[in-house]
Amino acid sequence: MVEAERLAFRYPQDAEHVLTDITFRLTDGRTLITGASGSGKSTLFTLFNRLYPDNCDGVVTGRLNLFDRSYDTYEPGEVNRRVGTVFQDPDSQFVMQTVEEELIFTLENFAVERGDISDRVSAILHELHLSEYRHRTIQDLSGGEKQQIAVACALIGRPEWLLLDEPLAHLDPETAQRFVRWLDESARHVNIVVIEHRPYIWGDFFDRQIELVAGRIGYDGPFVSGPDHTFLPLKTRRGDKHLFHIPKVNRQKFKLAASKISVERGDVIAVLGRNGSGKSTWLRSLARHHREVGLVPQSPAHLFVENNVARELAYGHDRPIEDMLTRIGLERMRAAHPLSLSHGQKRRLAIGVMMLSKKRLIAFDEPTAGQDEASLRALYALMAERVQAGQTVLFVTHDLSFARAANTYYLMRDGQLSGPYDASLWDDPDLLRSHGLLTEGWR
Amino acid sequence: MLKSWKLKEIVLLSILSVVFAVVYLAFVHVGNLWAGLIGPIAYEWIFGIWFIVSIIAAYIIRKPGAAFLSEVLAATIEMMIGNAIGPRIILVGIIQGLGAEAAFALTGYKRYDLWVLMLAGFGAAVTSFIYTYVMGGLSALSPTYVATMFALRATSGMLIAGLGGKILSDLLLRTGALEGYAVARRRGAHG
Amino acid sequence: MTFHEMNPTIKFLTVTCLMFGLAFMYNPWTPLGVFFGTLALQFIFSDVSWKRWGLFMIPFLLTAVGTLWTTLVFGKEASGEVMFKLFGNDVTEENVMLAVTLSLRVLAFTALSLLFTLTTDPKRFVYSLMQQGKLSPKIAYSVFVGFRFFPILKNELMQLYETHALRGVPLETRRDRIRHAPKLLIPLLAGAIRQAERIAFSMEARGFTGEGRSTYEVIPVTRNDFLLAALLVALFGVSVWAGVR
Repeated sequence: MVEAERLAFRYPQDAEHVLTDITFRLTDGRTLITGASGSGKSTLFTLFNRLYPDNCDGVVTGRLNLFDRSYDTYEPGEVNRRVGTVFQDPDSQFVMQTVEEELIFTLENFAVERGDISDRVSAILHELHLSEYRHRTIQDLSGGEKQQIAVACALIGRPEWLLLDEPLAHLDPETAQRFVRWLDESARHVNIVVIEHRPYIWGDFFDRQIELVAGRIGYDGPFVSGPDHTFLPLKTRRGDKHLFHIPKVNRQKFKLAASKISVERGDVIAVLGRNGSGKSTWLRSLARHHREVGLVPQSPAHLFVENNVARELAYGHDRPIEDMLTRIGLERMRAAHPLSLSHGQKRRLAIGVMMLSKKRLIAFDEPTAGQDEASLRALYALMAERVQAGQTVLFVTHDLSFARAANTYYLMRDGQLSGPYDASLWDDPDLLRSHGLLTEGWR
Repeated sequence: MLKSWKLKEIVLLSILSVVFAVVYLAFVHVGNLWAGLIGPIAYEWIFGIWFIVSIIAAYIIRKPGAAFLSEVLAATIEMMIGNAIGPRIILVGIIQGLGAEAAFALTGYKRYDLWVLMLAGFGAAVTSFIYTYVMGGLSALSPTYVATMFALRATSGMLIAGLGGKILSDLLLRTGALEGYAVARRRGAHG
Repeated sequence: MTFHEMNPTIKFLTVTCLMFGLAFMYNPWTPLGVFFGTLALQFIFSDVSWKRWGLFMIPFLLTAVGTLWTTLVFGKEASGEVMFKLFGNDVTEENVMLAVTLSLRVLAFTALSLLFTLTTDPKRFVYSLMQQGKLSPKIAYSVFVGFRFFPILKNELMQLYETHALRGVPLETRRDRIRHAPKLLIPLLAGAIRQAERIAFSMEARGFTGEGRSTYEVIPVTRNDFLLAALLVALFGVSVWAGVR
């Protein structure tokens, strides 16, 4: 499908290239593309489906052939009839309200005859075992369901290739595993290319692997399945105990039972559960009812209320901030807008804010979603440093490999919190499975 | 007109319109509360808020039609999410959009500094006032009262829409969200 | 034959023309006739919930009252006998008639608008604008994106309020929340702009170019559309005749 020779790409305003000296042929089968954030994976993808270079006026040099024709000979939309794409964020890839309307939208784009449209919709939904979703409102679906619908939308045009850009980033392990198995069974007649930070969950799905390192091909060969990243329990410095009560929450569709946790200063606590089990609601309730708890949301940007880093740190108190700016490594960014920082910098700024407001317990909501290994390692180091400084760290996650960083565990299922457990939890497969945390092929 | 537009720019217009449709709707309620007490003049001093999306869109995208289209889209979406004045709002959107667009057209779509943005706010105030004059039957009111209304609306258009729109867009620029749009590329060249 | 089935573009044009026409009528009988006539047509040719209608009407009643007394107090000087004094302003019979006309006009506008709003499905309206009004699909589908984006935005807004409250921003009362709202605009917009680009990319990745599309849901133009339009125009004609007679 793709043939590249000494391909290079850069954005018009930058001198540096995002991709350099890329030479390869993409052949039939299932290919995995790996690489750290910023290594050029997504850019390469957008060259495959012709979103780039036009959309960013990017500069392409070298040769790039799509289906044996140079990329620049294609009309807009032409290549998208043969290449379907599924993106990372389940919330920003739909146009219409219902699943049926969304599929119809896609068929209309391909100028499918009006009389054939309804049958094509039925056929794809049947083929992918999604018939029951036909009249559902997309907004009401879970993340995993949305990704399945996105695949249906990509496949309904009968492409020869299917590209998936980190499709599992926002799914819990059980859902992710189910998605992979479903894709494996349903998408038999299409070639697949997947971008993925954490290939272990795909099992032996792939035939081939290409690794990008700083915009160049670092590895191109058969797929080698490896284990997920491993994290060791953080060294803790235990201190005095503190009991937190978390009152119950009653929502229309969801009930969170009252719970209490006993927190030792300097401990690292993980709260585990599948998506929708109530972990995040629980965490918000904890933060709302206890002033000494500082919440770092999944996107730390939500915390920020000011227009520059220095003012953000100084917000709501009159303690000096200079020392903190240095400690979180943002002294050169003091005038920058908090929202313009990188994800890692935003996280550090959030921590700085928490420390200055004298929070005893730092609580992270899903801190690992969509992060590459380097970012996870940075998070791990940050947590280690907090614990050494005598603070307590708590995080809510469905990321089982990162969860190993904790010492104390709580489990969440249907709004019920249980625990505490220690590391022996990992030797109790029944307990984990019953909370949707253990998947086959894992460990 | 749309030939030179990227889809992402049109979708951006639409999404800006949604955000401001909500703001607009909120201000309709603010205005309504006052209108019962002091009459239609209640809307005048906040009128500029209803032009702001034109100015922001034109400033960010810098293509002919941005000011007009964004205002019409905002009106349409405002109607879809529940403004009871319904079809009339679209008409209002078209008329206000034309007023703002005229200012940018006057500079040949080359200048986007504060003065031009304020002129656009003024332009929207002029066209929208003509509409109010005809539809609201303002000829029945004393000329002094009508002149006060217009002065308030024009000032509001220049300050809230023109100046406010620029401040808001420049803040947005600083968040880095506008990389990939004309405003980020031409930074430095024109204010 | 109902207003719900009526072609939205034709309905839009008819209603808009009537409103424009009303703007040039300076007698109280024309807006009064249009107001009650619209209600009658709505009663016969639609099954709109009158409770909803009433709720939507309330703010415009306020506007009508405001218009009434503004015109009385700030009305321009008119000839004729002074009927009474209001805040030091001489009010003549002509002033009163004008004031009544203008506030009835507000009510007639609202009745017409509600006839359109309450019987029109936004999706069908946009489809119809594309099919009969030659609206560019690029714009039409961007409107759908925006419409779909609305609940996402609401959700984002709630989250911002919640996390900001945890930062210690005072958000206890309604007043606090309103005062803090402008500060939420930047994060809300910044997030929305990033999403806009992603949505546009996913549309293009699914072959959307705005051209060469087929159409699944056809919004027809039938004889009934013209009949209903004619009824509305006739209503206007009768009301004008009643007014100038």
